[in-house]
Amino acid sequence: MMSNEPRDAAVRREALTPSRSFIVQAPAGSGKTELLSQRYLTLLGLAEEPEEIVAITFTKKAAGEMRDRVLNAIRAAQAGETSMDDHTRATIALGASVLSRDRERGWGILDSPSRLRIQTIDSFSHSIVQQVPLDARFGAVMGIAEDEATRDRLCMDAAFSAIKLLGSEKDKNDAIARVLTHLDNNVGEVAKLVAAMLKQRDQWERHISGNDPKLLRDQFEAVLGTIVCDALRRVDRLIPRGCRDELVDLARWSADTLSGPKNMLEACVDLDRMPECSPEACATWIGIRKFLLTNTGSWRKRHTDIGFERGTPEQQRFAELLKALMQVPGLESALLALDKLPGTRFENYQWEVLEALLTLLPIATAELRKLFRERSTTDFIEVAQAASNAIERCRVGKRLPSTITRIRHLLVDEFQDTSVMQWRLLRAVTDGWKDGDGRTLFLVGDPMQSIYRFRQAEVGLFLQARQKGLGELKPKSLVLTVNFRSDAALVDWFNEKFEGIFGDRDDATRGLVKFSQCDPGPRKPGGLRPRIFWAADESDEASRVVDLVRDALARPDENQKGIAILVRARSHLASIIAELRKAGIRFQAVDIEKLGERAVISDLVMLTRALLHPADRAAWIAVLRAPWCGLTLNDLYELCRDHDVAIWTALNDSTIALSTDGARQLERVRPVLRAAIETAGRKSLRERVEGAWIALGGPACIRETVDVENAEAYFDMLDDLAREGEPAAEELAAALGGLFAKPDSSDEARVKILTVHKAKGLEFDTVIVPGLGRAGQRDSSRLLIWEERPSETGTELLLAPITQKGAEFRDPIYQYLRTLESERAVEETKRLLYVAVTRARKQLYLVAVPKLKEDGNVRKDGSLLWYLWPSVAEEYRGEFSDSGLQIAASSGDDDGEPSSDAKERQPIPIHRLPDGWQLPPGPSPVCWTAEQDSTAVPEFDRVTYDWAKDRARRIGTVVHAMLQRVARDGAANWNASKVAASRTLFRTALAGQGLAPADVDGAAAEVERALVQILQDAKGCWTLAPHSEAGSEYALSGVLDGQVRHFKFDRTFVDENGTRWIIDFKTSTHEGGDLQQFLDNEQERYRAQLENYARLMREVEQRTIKLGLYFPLLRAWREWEYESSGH
Amino acid sequence: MSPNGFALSDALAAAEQGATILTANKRSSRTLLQAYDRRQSEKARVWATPDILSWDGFVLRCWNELVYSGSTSLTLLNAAQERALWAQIVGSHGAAAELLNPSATAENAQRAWRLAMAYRVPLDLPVYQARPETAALASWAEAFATACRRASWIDEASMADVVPGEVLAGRITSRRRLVLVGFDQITPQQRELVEAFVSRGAECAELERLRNVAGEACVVAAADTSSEIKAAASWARYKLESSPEARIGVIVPDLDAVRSKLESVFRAALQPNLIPAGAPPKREAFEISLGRPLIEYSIINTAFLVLRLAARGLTLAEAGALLRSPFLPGAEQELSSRADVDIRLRRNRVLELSLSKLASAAYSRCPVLTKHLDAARRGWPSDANMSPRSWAEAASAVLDAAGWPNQERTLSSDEHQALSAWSDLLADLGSLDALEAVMTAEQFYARLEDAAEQRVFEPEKSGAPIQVMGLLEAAGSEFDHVWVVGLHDAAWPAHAAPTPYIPPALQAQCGVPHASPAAELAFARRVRDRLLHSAGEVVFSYPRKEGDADLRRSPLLDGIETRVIEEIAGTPVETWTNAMFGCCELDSLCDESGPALAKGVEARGGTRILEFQSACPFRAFFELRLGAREIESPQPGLDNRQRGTIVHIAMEHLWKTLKTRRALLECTNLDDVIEGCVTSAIEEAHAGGASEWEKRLAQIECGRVSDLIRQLLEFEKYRSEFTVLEPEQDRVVDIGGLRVQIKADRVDELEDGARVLIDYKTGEVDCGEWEGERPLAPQLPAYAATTEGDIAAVAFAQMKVGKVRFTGYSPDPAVLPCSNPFRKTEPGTLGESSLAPVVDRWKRIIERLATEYREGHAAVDRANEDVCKYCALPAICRVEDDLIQAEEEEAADDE
Ligand code: SF4
Repeated sequence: MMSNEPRDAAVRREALTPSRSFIVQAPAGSGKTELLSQRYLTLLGLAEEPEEIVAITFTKKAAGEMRDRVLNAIRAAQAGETSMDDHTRATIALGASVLSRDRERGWGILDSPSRLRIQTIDSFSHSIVQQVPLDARFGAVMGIAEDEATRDRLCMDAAFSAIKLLGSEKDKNDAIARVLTHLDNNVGEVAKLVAAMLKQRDQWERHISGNDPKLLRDQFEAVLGTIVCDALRRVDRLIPRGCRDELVDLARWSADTLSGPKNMLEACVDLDRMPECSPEACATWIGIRKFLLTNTGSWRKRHTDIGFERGTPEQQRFAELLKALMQVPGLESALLALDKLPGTRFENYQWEVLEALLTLLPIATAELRKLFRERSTTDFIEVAQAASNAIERCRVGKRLPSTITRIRHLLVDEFQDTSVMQWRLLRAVTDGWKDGDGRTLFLVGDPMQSIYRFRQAEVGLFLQARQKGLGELKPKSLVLTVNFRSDAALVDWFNEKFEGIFGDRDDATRGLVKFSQCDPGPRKPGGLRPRIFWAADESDEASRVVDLVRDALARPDENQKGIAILVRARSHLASIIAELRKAGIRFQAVDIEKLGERAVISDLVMLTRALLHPADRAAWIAVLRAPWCGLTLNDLYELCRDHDVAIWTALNDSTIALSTDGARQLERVRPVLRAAIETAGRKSLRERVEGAWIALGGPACIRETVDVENAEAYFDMLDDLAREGEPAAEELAAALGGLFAKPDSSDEARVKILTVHKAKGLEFDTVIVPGLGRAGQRDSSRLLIWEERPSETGTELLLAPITQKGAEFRDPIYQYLRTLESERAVEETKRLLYVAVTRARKQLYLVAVPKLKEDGNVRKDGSLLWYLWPSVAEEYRGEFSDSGLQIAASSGDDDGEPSSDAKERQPIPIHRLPDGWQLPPGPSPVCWTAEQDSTAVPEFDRVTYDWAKDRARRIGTVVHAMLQRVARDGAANWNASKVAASRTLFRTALAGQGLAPADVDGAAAEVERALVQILQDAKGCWTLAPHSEAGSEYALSGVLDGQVRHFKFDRTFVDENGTRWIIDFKTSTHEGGDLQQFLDNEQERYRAQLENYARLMREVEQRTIKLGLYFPLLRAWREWEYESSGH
Repeated sequence: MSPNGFALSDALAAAEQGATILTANKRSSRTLLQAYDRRQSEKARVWATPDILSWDGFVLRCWNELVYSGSTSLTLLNAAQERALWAQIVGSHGAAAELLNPSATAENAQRAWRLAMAYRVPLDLPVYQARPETAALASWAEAFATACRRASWIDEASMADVVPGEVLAGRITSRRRLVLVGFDQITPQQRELVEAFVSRGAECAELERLRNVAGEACVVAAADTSSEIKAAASWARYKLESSPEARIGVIVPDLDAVRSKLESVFRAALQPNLIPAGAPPKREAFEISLGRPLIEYSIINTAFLVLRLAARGLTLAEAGALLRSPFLPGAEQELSSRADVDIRLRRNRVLELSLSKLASAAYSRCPVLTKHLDAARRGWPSDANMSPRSWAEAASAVLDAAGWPNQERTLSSDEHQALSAWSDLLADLGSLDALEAVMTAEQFYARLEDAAEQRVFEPEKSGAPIQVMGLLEAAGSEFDHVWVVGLHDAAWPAHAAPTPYIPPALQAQCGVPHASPAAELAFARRVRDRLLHSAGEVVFSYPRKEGDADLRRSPLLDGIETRVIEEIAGTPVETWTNAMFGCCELDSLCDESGPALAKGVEARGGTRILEFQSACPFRAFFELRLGAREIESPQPGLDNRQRGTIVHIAMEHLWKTLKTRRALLECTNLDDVIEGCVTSAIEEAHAGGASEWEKRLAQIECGRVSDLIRQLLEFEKYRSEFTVLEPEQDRVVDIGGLRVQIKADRVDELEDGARVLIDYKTGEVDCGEWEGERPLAPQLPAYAATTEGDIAAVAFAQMKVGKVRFTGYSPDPAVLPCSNPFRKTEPGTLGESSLAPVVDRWKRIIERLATEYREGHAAVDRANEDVCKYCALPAICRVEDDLIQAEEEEAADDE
């Protein structure tokens, strides 16, 4: 190839046209992110405000990548960089125009990069809810449960509370009872199913909420009618004109000939013309199908079966007819499809169940929302739904916020993995947009790589957008063809194999995607063709994989962009990982190993559970058996033989005789556990567990470095979990269930292990795909199964309820929908295979353990191999001719698991710290000089809330404030009537103290009494009278006993004798009993405090200091002279 | 107002001369006071306390002057009251019932109101009608103002509006000099007050930068947040060690999110010696100043459990937490027995507990707890509706009665402070009397809980050398060294998120911060400058990754020198794990048998002994001899065990009534008999339940089980004549030297005296599980092997919906029609019509298993991988050490 330009360069250029909407098919390795970034830059260079352009990516990581590219382009332009590479040069040029736009408009993009709206759909929805919280019916944004465990719990709890409404008034027509009965009254199971439905309520909720189930039935049955008609029409259209009469004639002839009680062509008796394409004629059509095809679905070969005797003219005619019909492509499958047609009516029983579900599910969603409200947590679905609803509501009310109306360009990445919910949001945002009005949509994706069905991705939406557009917008369809990633040999191989695997047409409803050929990049070398390796069984497969890895590792130069093992499910990796470990090859397994599967972590879990629950025997025994203690069975038995005695109690029972060695271990372990138990409530759970673990020697029991990090991740999880109180064992397990062990991140770990889903968007020089022969997982059963079909008026829906527990026959409607689903699953599996292999840049190896049927072909069990088989069967046979079958035979039975008794049992030893192990001194603490004058934390009294005390405290506050004022005004200026006149003031002050209205008057009276009493008392008046050096609320600081103290005296002055007085007012009350005794006590109580005041005062002056306590409510006085001990 | 070169020391000097120092937050006034004290203590032993206080405190002080001079008759609402008023107003909005987050809505409305007051944003413009949110705020604000006017209330934000006028009018003491320290932004409202003082003759200075010159600054990048925090910790240690008197600040913008991580990292870096120690530290090297919601303090959490128990009852999990709480009397003494109560509650599937239910559950084992719970129950008012204040008192009384927070424990300083915050909280709730007449216990509880979630509480600390705080908290604090983390470009400047309740254009116009990207940027720049001038050395850092997304350095750090962490953070600190990892080889020990039991001893566990020993000897030893059992976590509804029990009991009753096949055939009211048996079975299995839904559920179960029974009886009718024997009580047999209780579900006697052994099963059955050296279901074989006389048939009676039938060995179909005929299953005995050889084989195997059990044989040796599925011990036996386990396959039973 001469030019450096990729073959599809023109398409790439066109995609940047700023005024048009596009939908771009961008296959693997076609540089889609670059294209998106370029378009984003193009649009930005023309925008009024950066917020006009919204780019939506599938993950945060992708958003970050795109943001990086955009910013780098602008920065490169700013720095005046250029590039040899055309492509980069173009990007920088775009950056430059953004830069000048930025200057022109004063955006300051480089200073405020968060103005770039490149975000995930979740954060986009979230921002909408934030902008229009009332229209979104949120009111305020709230926390979103990001982890699976929390979401599961919310849905499960909602499901249970819905079921608990059994028999309540919300449970109309006994719906819940009906569902329970239908499912064997298994509440747990029903709850699980309901919860599963709640987790995908975005799919069905809007269809059923607010609808009268009665109306729905007609609607659904109408849909059934169309389904049947469609199928009939398809057959009808395929039967050639010229064959019709003959078909009618012969079918009638045959039906007549076969006449009798068990006539399988009964429906064709009296046939005089092609039947109508209507549900009523369905039986006749099925008659025709039976006439033409055998029960097993092949064209009839034995014509006598339907009454045509050999050699008769009719038989001749029939043979002719068949010959003609067999030529018609698609007719056979169209006829066969008639077998799977649902009826057009719901059975009554089935409808009742469906109706019951349609009652139960809205109850469950209502319960879920109640929980959201109670726990102030919600999920992404709720946010996404709220966002669409809000925009729709705003449109109706003609009050879209400017943040929405401002959007002029929407770019969506990975559009093949769009869900119905996201589609709806995009529709809502772009509603009213028209081609050519300056607003554009840019949808990018690769339908061949749509693999997120389990997250509600609908590849059909991509196809639909391409065919029909989105709303009024009809984006132009563009197809990129150049794969810059893979070597030419690989690209050829993909083209060759997948042409046959993918369909030959797009079909939105069936999720069928047509294959689109790729071209290798302009400068790609030829490279090596992929290879398939056949293995006899799982362990053989594992060793093949290890060989391949070793091989690749030996050629580091060819593998600078990495080596990866890709699998469909992490459970396929057990043997491979074991084998890699055995071979000493380090690897980086991303989200493969569950945290809880690491032995170090399961020991920690047990330690945690033991500390959480003293009666968790399993956990306590585990703690005693774990490597840090390692008690023998004999010792354990001594401690645990009495099941009614808690193990912790037994551990402290000195009468239990243990082996010397066991006793020594316990000597070490017991105090650690005691400390951990005793710090409950004082230290966080994490601190307790981590502390105990270290003190027990847990870290010394770690054998792989990565477990150091895993332990840290575990402790972090404990912290999160314990935020809302200490978790129970089951919550711990649930939280742990969603966490993966850390991958080995060291440089030696040069092999990556990922699932295909995780590998999406990544590339590696060498890709190894093992487990090709593994069977696929079946979909789990669902409470409701539904099908949304495009129709003239938008979409229409069909629902069918789950089959009754224990029932033998399955409902045809359910069965029909299920079939459609599994067809879609099949298509997705093909795409998964495509995604896996297209990760490779240079080398691709596939490894399979084929499971062959007797006829030498692989079983149809959903394995990836099955799809590939037609094109690789020859290879296989060529490689193995006879011996291959041997392998197949040995591994053909079931899962190839070797029978268990054949294996010699390997005893599993326990590992434990060596005898006499002691905790090392450990790292040293930091040293610092404490500030000499650090402020003391005030001492606290034990407080219990008590209304009377609280009231007294508040009265005291007001009295103090008033006394301060009286002192300022001078006691002489105050008297009882002035006090009485200030009642309103007291009331205001007391109410301002939070006193209940009912209490205010009484309290005001008391304030009044206090003031009047002090004013009427000579001593009282004296304390408040003007004196020299007087002060109220006098604030003094100083150093006492090496600490800075801050004091506030209620009143201080120097009397005529030159004595310094320090006085505190105390609003104590006392009822009955010995008042003097009470006052003595009070004096003792406050003595230290007042003497501290005096000690400070002594630093200021050398006068005699007297201390006084005045009790206005008791009209009492105590005084004493301060004797400084130092003098 | 901001003379250059005015720095911290000038502010302190001003304070010395009697100036009033106003700070943006409490933290700053505290540190300023400390700085002042430090300065003074160098010269004197005693000094006048300076007038340093936060802005809010200052306004309140001014207000109080008005109150105590009688110049106002307005009542200042406290926080709880203001919140309640907003909640009332927002709650009466049209869409309120539909809102997913009503309480936060009220909070946002309140916040918007305060913003409007502070920035002088008018609330009555027509532009508010353009959007529902803004229109709502306009009407809420009006309602709020009206309510306040009517009741002579005033809220904090409006109070700040009143004060300046009063200053001008001379009703508030004027000041000589005001110094404002550390304000990132002074609101128009604040400015007005300042100006009022100025026009009354005050001098005013503003101090934004605490130091004259910017500190030496650098930027470092860390791999991720976790390593960023670690680097900051090790840097802090390094700094402190090089100058032991240094004051070090670590500033964390999103402190709340990383708080616990940070705490453990700093602990590990600074005071690792404390980690394995039980006791709390005497002196902290670092302090994190960030309040947490009061409800998160464990001492308060227990109070809420007690109150919830009284007000609405607890779930099982909550009850468990209460039983294990150290904050109730007797916690230590009854530690094990309380935990045991939890185990029992779980076993008995008690999902909801009231005070009296819990007290009676604890009755026999935990006298101290029972005593307190009883007292609490007696103390709880029976009135349905009471005033908030009465509820507050009742709550306090019930906690007292329950003995919370446990006198036996000495409380820490933090706990003391939390207690006093708690008491304030209750008092505040009590003050709601002003707004609400009466409420139910549940309503009060909900309010209290909400208030405790809102009340952010931070215990006062004693002043550690390293201070960790948030970005805003740091305003007005000065250090020797500062490290600011988390400054990546997505966070700084932050994405502008203006409140949706005020029209955005109006916000921008009024200079409301965070209202626009430009405002956000300007704000961030001010903060950066403030940080640069807050210490001699300033380190900015950012993480390169968050999750799997890449992050970049904030553009605000442009122009600041970049360095690498290793250069500035000293050597990484050693951790315990590093110190211990690989420090010794582990001993390896083969320990596969425990002590033997004496011959003839009676062993607990019945046929489970054989079952477990056969499936996995280790499990038999641990579960049966050591009692290592999983804690149950019951869920609502009937579980499989209960459902099985019901079937068993019902069948037993049925045949006790019918006795013979003849009676079955002759029975005229069979349906009634069946139903009667099932009903009483449900009762005996404690599956009835008390609530409405449980009763209804029991009804459904009754119908279900009756159906199954009817279906099974159809088979029985076609059998030859039999009599069902009375079930034996306590049949103990001797096998392999063990005395074991073995009971068959049912034994039929045929007319010739031969017996038919039947086991009811409600799940899947497989006769293969009787066979082999390691039978997985050895119950029937064990019974057969220990039965004298002829055995005509051995079978499972499967009673599963859709699968009701007999499966087993029955040479003569008339004796028992088995769906799985004897001959087919057992090729070895083909043609034989007697079970004798089979039974002999079983006998040998059963004997062997029993002997192994008795001898303490406890190897980890599973019959197959499936037996581990329902075993609680994988963590102990370590059969799958570090192995990936298969995902639990979803049952797809409709396929
Ligand atoms: S997990 Fe499996 S191997 Fe371990 S004790 Fe239980 S049954 Fe035995």
